[in-house]
Amino acid sequence: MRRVTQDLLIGAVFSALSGWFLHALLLGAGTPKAAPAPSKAAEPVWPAVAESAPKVASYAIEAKLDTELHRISGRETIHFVNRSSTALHELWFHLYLNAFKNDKTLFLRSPFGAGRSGDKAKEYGYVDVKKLAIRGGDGQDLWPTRDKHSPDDPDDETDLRVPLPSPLEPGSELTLELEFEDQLPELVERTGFVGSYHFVGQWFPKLARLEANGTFAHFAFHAQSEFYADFGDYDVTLDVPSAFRVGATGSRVSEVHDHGRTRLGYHVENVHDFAWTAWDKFETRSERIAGTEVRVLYPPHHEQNAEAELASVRFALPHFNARYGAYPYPTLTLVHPPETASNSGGMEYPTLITTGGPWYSTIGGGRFIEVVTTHELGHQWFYGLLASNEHAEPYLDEGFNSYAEADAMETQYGAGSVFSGFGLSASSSALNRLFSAARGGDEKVNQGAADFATFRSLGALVYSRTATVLGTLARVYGKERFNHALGVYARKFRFQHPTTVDFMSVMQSELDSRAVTALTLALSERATVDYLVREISNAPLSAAAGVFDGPSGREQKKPEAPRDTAEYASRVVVYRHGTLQFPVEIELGFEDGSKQLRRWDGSGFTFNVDNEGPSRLVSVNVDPQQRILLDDDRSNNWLSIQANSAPHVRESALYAAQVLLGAFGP
Amino acid sequence: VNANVEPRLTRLSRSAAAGMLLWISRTVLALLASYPVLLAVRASSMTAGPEGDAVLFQPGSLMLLELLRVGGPWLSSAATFALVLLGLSAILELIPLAVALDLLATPDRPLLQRAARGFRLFPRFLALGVIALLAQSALLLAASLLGAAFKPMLASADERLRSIAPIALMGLGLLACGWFGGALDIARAPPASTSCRINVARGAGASRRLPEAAPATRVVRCVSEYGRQRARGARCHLVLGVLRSSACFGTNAGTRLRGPSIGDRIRARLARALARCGARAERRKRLNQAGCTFRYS
Repeated sequence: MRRVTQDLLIGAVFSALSGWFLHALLLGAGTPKAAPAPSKAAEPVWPAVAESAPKVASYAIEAKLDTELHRISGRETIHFVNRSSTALHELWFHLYLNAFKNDKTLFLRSPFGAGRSGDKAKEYGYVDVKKLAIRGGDGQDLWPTRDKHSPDDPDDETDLRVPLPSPLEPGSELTLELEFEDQLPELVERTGFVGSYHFVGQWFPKLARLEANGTFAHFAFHAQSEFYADFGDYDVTLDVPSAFRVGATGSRVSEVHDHGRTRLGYHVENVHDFAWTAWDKFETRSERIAGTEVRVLYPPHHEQNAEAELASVRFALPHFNARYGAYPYPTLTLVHPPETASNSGGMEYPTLITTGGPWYSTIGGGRFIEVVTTHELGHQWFYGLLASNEHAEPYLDEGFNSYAEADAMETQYGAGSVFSGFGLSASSSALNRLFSAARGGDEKVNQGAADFATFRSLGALVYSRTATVLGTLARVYGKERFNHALGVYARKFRFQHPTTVDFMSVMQSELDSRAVTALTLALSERATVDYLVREISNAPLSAAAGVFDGPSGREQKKPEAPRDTAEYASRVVVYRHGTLQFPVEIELGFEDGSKQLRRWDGSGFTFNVDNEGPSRLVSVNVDPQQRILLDDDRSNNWLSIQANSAPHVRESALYAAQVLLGAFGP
Repeated sequence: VNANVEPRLTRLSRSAAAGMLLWISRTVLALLASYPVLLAVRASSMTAGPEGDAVLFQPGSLMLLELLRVGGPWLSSAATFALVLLGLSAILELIPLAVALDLLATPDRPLLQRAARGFRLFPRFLALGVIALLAQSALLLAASLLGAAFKPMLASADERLRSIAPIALMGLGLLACGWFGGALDIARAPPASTSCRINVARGAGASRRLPEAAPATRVVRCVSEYGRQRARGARCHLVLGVLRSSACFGTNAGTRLRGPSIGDRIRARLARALARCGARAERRKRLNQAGCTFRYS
């Protein structure tokens, strides 16, 4: 027994020492970075922010949900104002629930795996319009006069034209009355049901956006596309079984219980869509954050996720308020769908966002919940308040919001904004750069959502490359200056449906024409940049030798013998591949350990860096601060004439091999 | 030699020697197994900068992700090759393990004999390892299949139960694997000292010294002697495992705390020492040339 004790004692001593090392290691690597204190710089000057949107289409809807058949019967009133410059002879309706009607629709015939969720419908869904009439008119049902299918697509019924019986002059108003019935599909792309869980988006007949020139920005529902609509006010009454908990766009203004059912009234102004969810198993939490009533609906046992989501909003809501103007609505609803309905997660609607993830998402070093919550919250500005055309210019929402999300996450969590653990950390910027560099040259960023070859391509370019382009500008021009420019854009064009032209005009005024050129090339012309360095040369300095004709006649100078204390002429050539130009720093390292920083404005394709000094140039590092996130290949940014070694990798690989041998070996 | 009367210091030094032997063998084999990955990383030129490979471990992992993007195909091939080497290393490590077990179990034996014994036991250890590996794989496969079979049954169950059930089954599978591993340890430890047959014979001999004992008592003595030997083997494995893992982890953690590359530091220190020697020799030569008498101080 004594021998056993002694042997184990030796092991215990080793283990104690190891524990001490581990403790020291964790203290060194895992200490979370405190959020930087707010700078005390002068208050930035912002443009005035519109308090209300120009209302074009306002909706009053009464909807009754049959939770057994997953059907919604509804009545709808649309108050429409022709704010364009021309008389209207037709209206365009988006009936996007018809995207799930059969396998031949534009949405469902798209190659799956290329869509957002990658899933096909298992039970189909559709919307039937029973009646469409003009209030105060002759009572004629206009619906039979509609086109029977989307333009040039006989298999799709998501984009339908209805001729008006008489022209609607500019400034004139019209009230339409509709009756409709929805059959929800089994959950596909954020719409439908799973068991008793219902997520109801793109569910009511909705007018396409009327542009200023009198044309409707109408488009059939494509698997890669999102939405575009006019602002208005929404009054919606939802009739659901009393056992169901409901989350919806806007504020709840009434609640009436009657014979086992509940009628919930919702009101919201200055939004362009309405979505809701109903489930009999939801649990809820509410909290007032930055003047907004935030409500989380989550499945049982997801308390940790709900807390993580609220924690994200506690930071991100004030952060986005400061960056892009105050959130103008009194409520914000977060919906965490159950695991079986994950396809409805990660989506944004006005004042309602969905997150997602299994109940154990907060375990480990990943910040999936925080990333999704912050991303979807950011949409309240770029999708909700700016409301650019997501079909024609998706990067104006998803791309800008990806930058905003990365900025918020890195402000809160530092370099470990996506993952932090096991001695490693990963930032949002690094991940965006990874996807951006992998597919940067495939297609241009600024194109319609339906024009991308695949959704993966859209994801890498619209989300990641746009964020990387903006991140590069932020690092080149300074984060504060660039964020101010983006803040000016977000405030100036609130409720205005801005386009690329609007964005560029702000960049021109807030940054400069070089920034606009870089943005235009990077976003619209697949432009790239790659800084690289190929060789370093050093030559001892000596007096010039040879034959010289001077005023005192011809003179011959012999080469000097090498001296121990020679000075060196060093040169390195830095190259720029691609058409994007950014100013860049070049760090020179000398044999004596000294360093010098040189700057190149990025013009031209090569830049000679010369130096004369007592020490030889031994290393070059182009862009040592990693400002040019767009740099296509960072492995050629440096050169060192000293031996190439990898001690950290060797030690990490060695230890990993030791651990694996321990796990699987004898 | 009676272990109970063996000087404590000698016995401790044998334990330390066994641990050291295993640590050295594991380090050497791990170096061999990890070398392809190291070469792939160095070939990617991500480490060619002035900061070497320190950039790969910067916060945010921008350069680490760049390495995965730029060097992905090479790294994947290197990792595959490293896994093959790792498997070979795991097999080769059985030899030093046998020697270390012998060191713990038998006090006096020349090193060469211990090594020969290690080689002799290698086929037996390998066979035992393969049997255990097959049994462990079958257990994990069964756990996985059982988890898949449960999945439809749990479709309407609580979300936590749905996700925990397969993990719990896999955990049970892993526990069973651990039990098999322990059984393997016990099975291969006694051969380092005595065979099963000798253990039983010892027990029988001991019981013969008790003529008045009943036959049942004799059987119990045989079994208990056998069990004692097995328990001794298990203890040897436990001690060796703790020593080896602690040494590997401690070295790695210490390296990280002290900065990168102990090897580089040792090389640099040796180079400095050699340079000092050279300078001293040069100085002595000059003094001799100048006619001075050089004395060592």
